[in-house]
Amino acid sequence: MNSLESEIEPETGTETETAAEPLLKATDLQKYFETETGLTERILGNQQYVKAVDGVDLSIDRQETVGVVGESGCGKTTLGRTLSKLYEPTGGTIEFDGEDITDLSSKELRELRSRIQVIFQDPLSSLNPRKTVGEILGKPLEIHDIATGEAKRERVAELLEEVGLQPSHASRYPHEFSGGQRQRIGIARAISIEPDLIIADEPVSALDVSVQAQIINMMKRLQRKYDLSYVFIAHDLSVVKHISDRVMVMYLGNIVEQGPKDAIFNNPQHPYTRALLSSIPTIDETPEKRRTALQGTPPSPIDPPSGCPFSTRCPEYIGPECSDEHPELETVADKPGSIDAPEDVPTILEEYESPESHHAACHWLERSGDERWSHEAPAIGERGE
Amino acid sequence: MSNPMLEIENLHVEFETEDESVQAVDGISFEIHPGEVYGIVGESGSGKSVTALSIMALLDSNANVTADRVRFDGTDLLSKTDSEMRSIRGGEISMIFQDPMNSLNPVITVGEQIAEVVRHHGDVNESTNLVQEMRRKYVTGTSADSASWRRAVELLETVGIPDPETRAQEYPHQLSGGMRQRVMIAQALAGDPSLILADEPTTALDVSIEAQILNQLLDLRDEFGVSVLLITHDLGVVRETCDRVAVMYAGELMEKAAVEELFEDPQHPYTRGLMQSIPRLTDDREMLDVIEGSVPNLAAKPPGCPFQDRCAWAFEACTQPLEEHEVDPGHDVACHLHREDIPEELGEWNSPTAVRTDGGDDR
Repeated sequence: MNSLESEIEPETGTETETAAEPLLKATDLQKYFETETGLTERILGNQQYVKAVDGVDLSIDRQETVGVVGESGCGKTTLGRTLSKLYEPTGGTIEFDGEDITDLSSKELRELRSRIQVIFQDPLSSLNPRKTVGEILGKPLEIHDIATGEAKRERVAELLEEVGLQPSHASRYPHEFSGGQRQRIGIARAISIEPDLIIADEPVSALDVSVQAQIINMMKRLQRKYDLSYVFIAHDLSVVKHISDRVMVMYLGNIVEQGPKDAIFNNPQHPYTRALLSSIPTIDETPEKRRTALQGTPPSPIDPPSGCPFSTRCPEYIGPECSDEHPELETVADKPGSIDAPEDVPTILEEYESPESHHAACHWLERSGDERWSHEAPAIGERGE
Repeated sequence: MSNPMLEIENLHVEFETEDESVQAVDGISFEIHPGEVYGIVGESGSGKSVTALSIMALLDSNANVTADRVRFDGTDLLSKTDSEMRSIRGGEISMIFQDPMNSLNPVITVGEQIAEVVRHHGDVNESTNLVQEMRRKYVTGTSADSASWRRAVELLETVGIPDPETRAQEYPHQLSGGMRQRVMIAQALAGDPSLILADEPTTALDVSIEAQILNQLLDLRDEFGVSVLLITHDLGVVRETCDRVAVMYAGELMEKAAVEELFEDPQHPYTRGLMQSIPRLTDDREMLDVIEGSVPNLAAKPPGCPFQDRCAWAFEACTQPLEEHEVDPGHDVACHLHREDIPEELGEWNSPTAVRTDGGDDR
């Protein structure tokens, strides 16, 4: 696993920055939740765990946007919360700006909060309904000793203008705003203490398309102004493509494919990524009226398949190796299975060549392209466990 | 041309609150033909769900519904009594809601819930009196040999639920979101409807499950010839699923067209703005084009076009009442830019290069 990291890092940085440390780096990160188990079962040692994040390696560079996509329940929200230390990781390490932040005292954690901020999906439930917007935005400034009194009020007014609201809105309560405006307040709160990294968990999914575009553009502008890095968690691939530099595709607590967004969208190698891409409704071209639907639903993260997590639904299932052997993320470039996709394979752009930093975890990469593209997978019911 | 399955003409829905009245639907007209999937697309608060609920007469008593015409299969729905409407609802017209967890009864098995609809609206000869129903629901359960139960299992199979006999005996919380939505569809089919109103049926689902459900709806249309009114905010879903579509904004229909035509040649500034504000897999725009501002307050709409405050092309005439202009057969646009006498400097609005946004973000 460790040999992989060195390949992931030099990514979007310019020449002078290539040697720089990533802003955040996680190694073999795990987050398990205990399921509700009766006392006897527990005494017998039968405690079960939901493996929400199951061994994830990632790194985020300065001023970079990393998109995390996947279906609901794939662990993307848990990943975001673990990275921001809202959850304690079960295993693995997290380094932020060169320092290990896996175990921190509450005092250290408070300092970390001024550098990593979070934007939530539902701004109404993440804003205190009994506090005015001025109080909501002013509190972090006080806690982190940035401004008090008049300076604080000025900073709040500035922040409101920064996110497209009026300074006079400081005296209003969250319920007086529309969904889009509330999300602006959530963003203003996140940038108020000028963090280095913002973890945005589905920040635009609850918004209407026209408002969504306003918020996305604003986030891009703020990123440049404040030199922010984003982890952008979303289920909408078009939005992720628009905002991200790099994309990670998650399935059942694992990253199954990652790379620069061009690589993910022009040369998707993991069958799950391809299935996701072809299942997006598009307004661009005349569709054939039927999308290829991925069959079935994801398995339970309590008892994930022992081999490839996607093996129970994979439209390109090979054989027992898929069910038994867990594939590791590997560089896609020059792998025999990644090349020579015939023209009729949708979603893959023929002339695109993946850079070193494009990784996928699939047994097909080691096999020949000829075999891959002519393969017919056995029906889902006829696969070994 | 066949008679429309549903005809709506000049539908108004007004909600009375203590100190104001809100025009949620403001004079809309459309019709749906047999076997057609008709889409209404709009942002939240545009009145699309209220439209569906008013057709079903499911709105609260503070809603004041008026229309020149609401006809279903040739019969007038507005003059129906409550009990007549009850036999139509769930029978000839059925509805699928966005959130099946809130619309299925959590303490009754899904098979039971479907079987009940079969007894009330299907042609099985089983008693539906209250005592019998209560006994079935809460005490004995519907006998697995009865016609209504068998039909329920059959319907679950139709909508693609594996192992329907077992699933029919499960409760809603035991099913996944996609499964629950399929149960809703099965329930909607139980009365053998000719029109299904589907209100954001896939919004709560993941894309892969969404594709399964939409394919299912299209299969049912092909198989049983039902008409579908599909309400959604997702233009991608519209393009994939619908035959014709209406774009709704602040209670009014801004543009109506066949799906291909709407996407290839949108003729209303709002429709264009919507399409440009969506990130696409195929575009490389650094910034998205944004419709500035926000929707007007429905309790105090400006006179004339509801979109005038946000429209880059607004001119004096926009404060006058809107009228529909037929730009092509079957393609109606409610916009004054389609009048003969628009000011000269606006004449270029319809050229492909016309841009009147600053492409900035949000102010």
